[in-house]
Amino acid sequence: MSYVAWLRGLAERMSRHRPQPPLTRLEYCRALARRMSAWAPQPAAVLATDSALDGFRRLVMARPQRLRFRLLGANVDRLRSLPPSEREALRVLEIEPDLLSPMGRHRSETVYASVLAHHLDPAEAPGIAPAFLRVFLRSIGCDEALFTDDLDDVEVRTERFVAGGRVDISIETSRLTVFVELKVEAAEGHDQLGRYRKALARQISEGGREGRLVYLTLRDAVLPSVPVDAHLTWDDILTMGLPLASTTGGAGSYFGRFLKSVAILVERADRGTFADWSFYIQRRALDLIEGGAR
Amino acid sequence: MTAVSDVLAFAAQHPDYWGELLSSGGEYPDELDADEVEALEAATDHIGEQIESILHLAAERIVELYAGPGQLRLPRFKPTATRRNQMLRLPPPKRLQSALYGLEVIVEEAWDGKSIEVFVALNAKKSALDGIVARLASRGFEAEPWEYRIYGEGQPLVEGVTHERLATALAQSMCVLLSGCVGD
Repeated sequence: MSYVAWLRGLAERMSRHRPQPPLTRLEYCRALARRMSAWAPQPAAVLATDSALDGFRRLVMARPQRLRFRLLGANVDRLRSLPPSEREALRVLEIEPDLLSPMGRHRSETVYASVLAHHLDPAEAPGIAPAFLRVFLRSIGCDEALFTDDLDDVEVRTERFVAGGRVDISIETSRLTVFVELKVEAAEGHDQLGRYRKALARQISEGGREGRLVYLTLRDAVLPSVPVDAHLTWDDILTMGLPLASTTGGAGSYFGRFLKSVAILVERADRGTFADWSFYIQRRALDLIEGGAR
Repeated sequence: MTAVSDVLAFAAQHPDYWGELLSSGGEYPDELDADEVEALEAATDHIGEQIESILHLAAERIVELYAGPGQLRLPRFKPTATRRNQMLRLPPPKRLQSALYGLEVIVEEAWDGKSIEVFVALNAKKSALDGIVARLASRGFEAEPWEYRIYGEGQPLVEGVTHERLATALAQSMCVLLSGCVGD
């Protein structure tokens, strides 16, 4: 190496060690973020997802009918093995048409409240309500002694004005007051249940009765803002109602159509009969009927 | 730019698979083997990410229409709340609060039930519903209300269509719907 070449090499190495101007705080943060992003294990995660997605492409997308037929076949096997009483209950979910879809009201809270109240009122629906009301009151923890003697004198009201709002359904006997707040799509209003709880307390203190505050929602994961005496889901209404609708003949027909609307709402049935439903809806209907809904 | 993937497009064309994929919440039929469950879980995650991206982009475009960019903090989706993740609700423009509960971007079955599409909808107050529908009809847009929702035209989830393009189409559709809230 010539002297000149050696000097040039030295100058180049020295220039690499030239002191850098100090970084501003912003520049430091940016540089830090660049370095940290390089540490993130993104390539591995992407590879894992891609390989799993390839599995989906291979196992499902390539032959969608194969999996569909297998699942549908399994559902049909389950359907065939249902005992007669459960098969009858499922038949209620196959009634066409359901009550609310033709009206375009299949998500209307007020309509659900009205029709449910109708079927809880012995004066309105004498063919179904005495039995349904009995099952309903038992499911919310009411002792038989509180209502057996005066089921004929029960008063069922919808949209009842109380201090703090309007209760969707109220049920009153000589010894019991029940407030039912039901939800289809909307969430609970501000302290709505708290206000009804106070109104109920006032109501039962005046008459020396027992009281129950009931919250009826699509899913049990929708939690009430205050403790309630019973939290039911629309699945519970189906579980209580389907055996009655399937064994009550003509009186159960209207009730059955209402229950089918409820089942469509909670994806336990669809329009048409079992054979028309997707394997997903079929499976959910069978889970409900076989008692595995919750 | 992210585009609708083959997996999302497939799911959108098979509503029964869609229901199974997005509603199972980790519960799959016993008839499936471990590989199939793993494949479905991966597809569910992937579809969730794509849907979140489309809904957020559409919501940002819509908010830009009436409030300017960056004016709204959008909710992050919960990975387990798959059903809820198919809709994004926005507050209405301030001047339309008397007529609307909110603006929505929704992924759901098309009217014929044969595919899944993305829709925008006005969540209208009962008192304003008929007026909005009538004004839209007078401007040549036949809007069919469903409960308190007035839907815009559905956007199909076709493979290769960019999320940006979908979001723009949805925002345009929302523009049409919002025009029904304003008198002549």
